[in-house]
Amino acid sequence: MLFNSLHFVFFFIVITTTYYLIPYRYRWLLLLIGSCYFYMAFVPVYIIILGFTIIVDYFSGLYIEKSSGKTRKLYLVTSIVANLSVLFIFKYYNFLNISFDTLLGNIGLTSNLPFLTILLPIGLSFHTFQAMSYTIEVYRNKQKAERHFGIYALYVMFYPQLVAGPIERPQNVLHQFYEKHSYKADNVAKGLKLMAWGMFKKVVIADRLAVIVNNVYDTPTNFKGMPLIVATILFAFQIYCDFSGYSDIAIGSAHTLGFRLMKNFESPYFSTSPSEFWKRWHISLSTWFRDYLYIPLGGNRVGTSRLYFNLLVTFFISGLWHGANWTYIIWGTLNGLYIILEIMSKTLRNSIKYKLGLNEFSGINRMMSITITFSLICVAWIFFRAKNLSDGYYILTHLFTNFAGSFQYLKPSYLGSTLYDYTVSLFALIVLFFVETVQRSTSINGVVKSWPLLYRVSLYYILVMIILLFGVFNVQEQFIYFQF
Amino acid sequence: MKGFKIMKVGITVVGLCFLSTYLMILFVAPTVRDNQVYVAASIDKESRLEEIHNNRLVFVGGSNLALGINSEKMASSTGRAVINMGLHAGLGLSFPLNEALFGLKKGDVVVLSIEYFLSETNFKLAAQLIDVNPEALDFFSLSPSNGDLIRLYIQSVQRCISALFYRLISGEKSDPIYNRYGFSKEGDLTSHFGKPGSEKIGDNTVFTNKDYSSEISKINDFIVSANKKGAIVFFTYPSFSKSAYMKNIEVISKLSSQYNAQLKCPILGNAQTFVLSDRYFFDTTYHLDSLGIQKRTGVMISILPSHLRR
Repeated sequence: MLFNSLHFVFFFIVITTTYYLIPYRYRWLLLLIGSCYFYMAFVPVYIIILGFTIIVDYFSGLYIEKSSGKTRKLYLVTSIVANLSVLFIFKYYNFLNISFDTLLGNIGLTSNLPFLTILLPIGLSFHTFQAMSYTIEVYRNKQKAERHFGIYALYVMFYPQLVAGPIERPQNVLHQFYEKHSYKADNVAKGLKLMAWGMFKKVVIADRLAVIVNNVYDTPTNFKGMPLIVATILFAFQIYCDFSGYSDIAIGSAHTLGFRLMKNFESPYFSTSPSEFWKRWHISLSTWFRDYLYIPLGGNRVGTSRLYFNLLVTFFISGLWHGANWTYIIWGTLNGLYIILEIMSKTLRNSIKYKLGLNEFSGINRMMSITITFSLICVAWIFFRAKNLSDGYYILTHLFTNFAGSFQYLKPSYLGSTLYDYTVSLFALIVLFFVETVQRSTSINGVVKSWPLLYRVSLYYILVMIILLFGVFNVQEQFIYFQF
Repeated sequence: MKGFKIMKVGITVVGLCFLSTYLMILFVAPTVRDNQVYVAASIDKESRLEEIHNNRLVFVGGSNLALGINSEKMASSTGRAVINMGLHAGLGLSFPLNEALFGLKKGDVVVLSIEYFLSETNFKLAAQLIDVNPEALDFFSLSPSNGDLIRLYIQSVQRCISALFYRLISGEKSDPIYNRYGFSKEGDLTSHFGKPGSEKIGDNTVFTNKDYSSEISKINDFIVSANKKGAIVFFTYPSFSKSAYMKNIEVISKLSSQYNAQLKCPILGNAQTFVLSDRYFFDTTYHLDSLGIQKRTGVMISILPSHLRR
């Protein structure tokens, strides 16, 4: 079920209303049934895979807690292997098979391994990682094993964050299923506002920009220079609005039920360095990799070369997590390299700033850092969005080809768009920029709450009307991160 | 109490939104309505389908037909009155099939020329069509449970806003080529003859492999219903530019195999039969210029009459 579908609107109203109407002791059951229905709206049979993961991790948690020493470790390894095996079979098997075949082909051999014609279960990487965090935390004695099977199943399946996160930790969520959430108008109002803002980002900005981005990235060799640059910048905003819009709807819909999910984005494009960007972008995944991969590898309390190695491995795997394609691996590795370069060049950058006197102009310094970081992130996005490595390479090497002459190809008709779409996109991006800027210093929700009722109703009316009048509804666009 | 307040605010906001969008359709839509718009040609095509009573040759499909055949020539070589119903692929698969089926009569010969992988309706275009031709709503297979009607309603409101926008900035009305009066009485678009087209054709069309079975079964339903009405149906491939064909050759051949295996009517030629050099295309991989139209019509004439005699 897509958040931007009518199906979800009805589902949400029914679940939220029933949740507050039924006795507290049945609420977990309602949420579990609702979550199963939500997931099965995509491909029903895949609930079996989810069920397998849940059963394995539920019992692993119990056995890990009961046992000690090597047995304890064995249960953890069993759980991790079971989770990663599912991920491997559904997501990575064909990719590795093709890569292996290509490798053998280079020396005149062929592998006869069969290809699997299976569909990737939606959100597999998200719920697998969430399930893994549970057994790891139990192993680390930071979380008690959950006795109630239904509650544990709900931890993995809770519908707002089931298919695209935020990837939660058991310490943050599990206990909330035992809390008695009495109806609070503030929770519902705050949740609904967040959901409306998420919808605005998704249907007004992301889906509108998608037309231009798809037009260029589907056949990049038709373009040179400015269209490639503009499409790449627009993709940066498209993916941000698509994914953070999804996260807002997820967090908001959980909030209406009284649940607090972790923040997933914090104005990432205002970052002044790649490392800051990764503290603000997809926070739930970044912290997952930090806690369960980077720190166990030694983190930054190691020698310089080992630190670089740890960073590269973490970002390489982060790239692979996103998709079984070399483009994602390049994207991840590139981001790792950025952070390594950031560390390596720190002294040099400081001395340049000092010589140019930029330290005295913190505003200019900051603007320059934001621009450079954004440009680097955009270069990496090229590989994330490109269909294959050769398209990515073409785009990267033709960004400035025929630069001056390529401005004429920015006309809407060349990019599969219209003047109207250009205008709406521009205004929507200005609204986004304004809101994100204000949000950095003030809580918009707090400000709005203090307004008189009439003003608030007018604001909600305007927001809903903007979504209705300027949202893209003629084709239903999936959320980009659903494929992961 | 607070719960009641939220409900009141919610109902007020939803009510206000509904009221203002409804008023917009009621008062703004007529002022920005453009009766010359391209899709309004459906009114003329439907009238022709209703007015001519016998010995008819009906072409059904999208714009590959509107900018793809010379109906006059087809008429003289087959001895049948030609009705070219082809309009726009964006209207989806169900629309042209239902629209044609409604007007079919005993003895009709129908030639289906469906764009590759034609399936879903673009609601923006559907809203534009329904604005000028409200009866056409019946020809769309809309699913209320999927929210299709709501989406169509929203598109109708959005159409008012975008039309107002263009009125304000340029006062521009219909497209000089793609408009209702650019069609001949048989239903062929001729307003692009002699006009410069696009420099590059075919590079943008990339199909992804997809199982087309459910759409083929829709086409088969049409064939069965048409046969019940006493009409004969043939299927043919759309005209397609060579460069786009070469790019999509594998996907198209898989689709052709599906057609060969599942379609319940004779197929005229094959996908390659209507692949023409890029120079014969006007602005897309399906739209032929005047020379291309002569060429495709010639090929069609060389195949169709022999099938009709059988």
